Amino acid sequence: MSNPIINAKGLNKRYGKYHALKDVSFTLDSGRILGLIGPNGAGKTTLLKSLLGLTPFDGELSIFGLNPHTQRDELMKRVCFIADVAVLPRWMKVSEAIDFVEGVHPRFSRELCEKYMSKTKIKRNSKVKSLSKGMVVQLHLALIMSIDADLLILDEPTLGLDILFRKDFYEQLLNDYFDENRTIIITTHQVEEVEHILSDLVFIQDGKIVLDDSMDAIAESYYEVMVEKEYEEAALAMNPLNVREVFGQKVCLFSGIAKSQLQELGKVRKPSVADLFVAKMKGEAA
Amino acid sequence: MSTFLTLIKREYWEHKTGLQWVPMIVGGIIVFGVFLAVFVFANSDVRINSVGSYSITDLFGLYDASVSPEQKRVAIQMGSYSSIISFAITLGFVSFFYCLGALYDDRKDKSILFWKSLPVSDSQTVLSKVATVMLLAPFAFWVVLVASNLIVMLLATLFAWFSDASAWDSIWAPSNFFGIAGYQLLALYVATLWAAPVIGYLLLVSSWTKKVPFLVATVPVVLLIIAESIIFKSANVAGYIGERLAGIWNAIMTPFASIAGDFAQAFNMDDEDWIAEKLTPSSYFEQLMDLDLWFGLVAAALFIIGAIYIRRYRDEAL
Repeated sequence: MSNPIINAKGLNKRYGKYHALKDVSFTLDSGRILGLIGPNGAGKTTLLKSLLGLTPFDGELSIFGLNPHTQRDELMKRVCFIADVAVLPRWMKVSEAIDFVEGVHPRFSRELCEKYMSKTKIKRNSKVKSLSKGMVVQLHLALIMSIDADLLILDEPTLGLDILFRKDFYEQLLNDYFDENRTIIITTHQVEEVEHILSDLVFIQDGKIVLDDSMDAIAESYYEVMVEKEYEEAALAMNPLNVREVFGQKVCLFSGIAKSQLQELGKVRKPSVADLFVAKMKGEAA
Repeated sequence: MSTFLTLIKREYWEHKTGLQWVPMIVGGIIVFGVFLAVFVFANSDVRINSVGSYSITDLFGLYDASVSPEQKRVAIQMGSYSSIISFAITLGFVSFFYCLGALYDDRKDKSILFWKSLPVSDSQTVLSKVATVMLLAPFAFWVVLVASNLIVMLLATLFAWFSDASAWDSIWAPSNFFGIAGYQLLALYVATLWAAPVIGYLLLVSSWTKKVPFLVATVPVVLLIIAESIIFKSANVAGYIGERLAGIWNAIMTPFASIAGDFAQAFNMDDEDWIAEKLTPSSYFEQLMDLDLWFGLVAAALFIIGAIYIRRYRDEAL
């Protein structure tokens, strides 16, 4: 399937002397869930801002064939985003927030919103400022998920929430919201919580993309091996991407080496995104 | 259109205090004052030196019997129109601070990222704020103003009954209630037109500034006035602001002249009196034909376009 909804080519962004995005190129097909992972200050937010038309950029970028910077009004009919947990206006009442989104968004379904809201303990008469942090996110989520958007962008959607909320959030997102016509981009620091729902992975560091692949392709090209003591030297000779030690045993991360060959060294398993991330970041920094 | 109405509703929700409660407090104070005058003091006597002691109700009877219908009309209409002054001044303050916050508060608390996540263009957003301050706010104040006038007249009616005077003859017939209400609405809107460039300027500052819109909007103007007076020994900036204030003042005062003019003979006014002529504001028609008003509207439009542009293309923090 090759109907990329996002097309970025040679994307550059400078803040004065600071080069925030360096020749970023990637495409994303419809019906995918992309995890955009990178350390702080890597350019994630700048990239998302460019995608959302919130900042000018150099290079080519189109979403649904639209330029986010110059055709933002058109684009926002199809794109929705949650930027941060704290952005719902504090003075607003819950009922007003729902009425407002219904009034301005042609693709909003009140029915769906009622459904999501009924799962929460949020009172309609409360003001946003009187809600707990978790409730604000639940409300924001209910509002956004009731919009039939083609592309949903979530920037650290669960920041500052406890584990129960986070689990619920991703479950709802995957089970109730996501389908093959929608595309989702998520950035987060809690990689381990999202990796099972991702279909694509992009690592970004110092404004450059250092990994861009589907989870399937990654599963086939990256392996982690719990190396048996006697094969340690042989393993290290094969240029692992990363070596860490668990209970005195070396764990090596390999890329592009056949699984059968690695199985001779020890137990082979799929690396977690977090481990892959650490390995990649170290590799790039070296 | 539904989007725009929703945006206006949004403004009302956020600014319910300024648009609803503040005018109601002003109206409440007026009504309370009249209430005190009528029902507390109605039972006490007034001592007039060398004339003797009378109850106020007697005095009202005296007024009812002795003042000509013409004069009653002028007195009642002037009186009920004049309640516009406290509303207009309050509306000025409310609008001033509304404009300063309109395009700044949501950037400060970052809720702009919520508004910007919805399919609402920045032109629609900014224009909804313009419509709120130029159309909705004067209207909201006017509704409360008319309601408080009505309540005052009802109190006056009760008072007339206590005084055995005819409420219809002494109050309602000469009141021209709907005519005065119409004057008040017209005055508020014409005053708003005169204020337009100030509104545009404040919205531009609100859209542009990174901090304390109040100081950013006022300090440079004050410095400009001082610098101009020192360097050029002139006062064009201050003069322009004065001209705007005079325009607003004129718009509010015009109906007084109309009411007085309608009944000039009741005052035995000499039409040739040049002082009266100088003090009489121009008519609304003349004001709307005034080129200065239109220059102001053009300036307002440019400021507003600037405010939209800044809001649209600013490098937004995410």
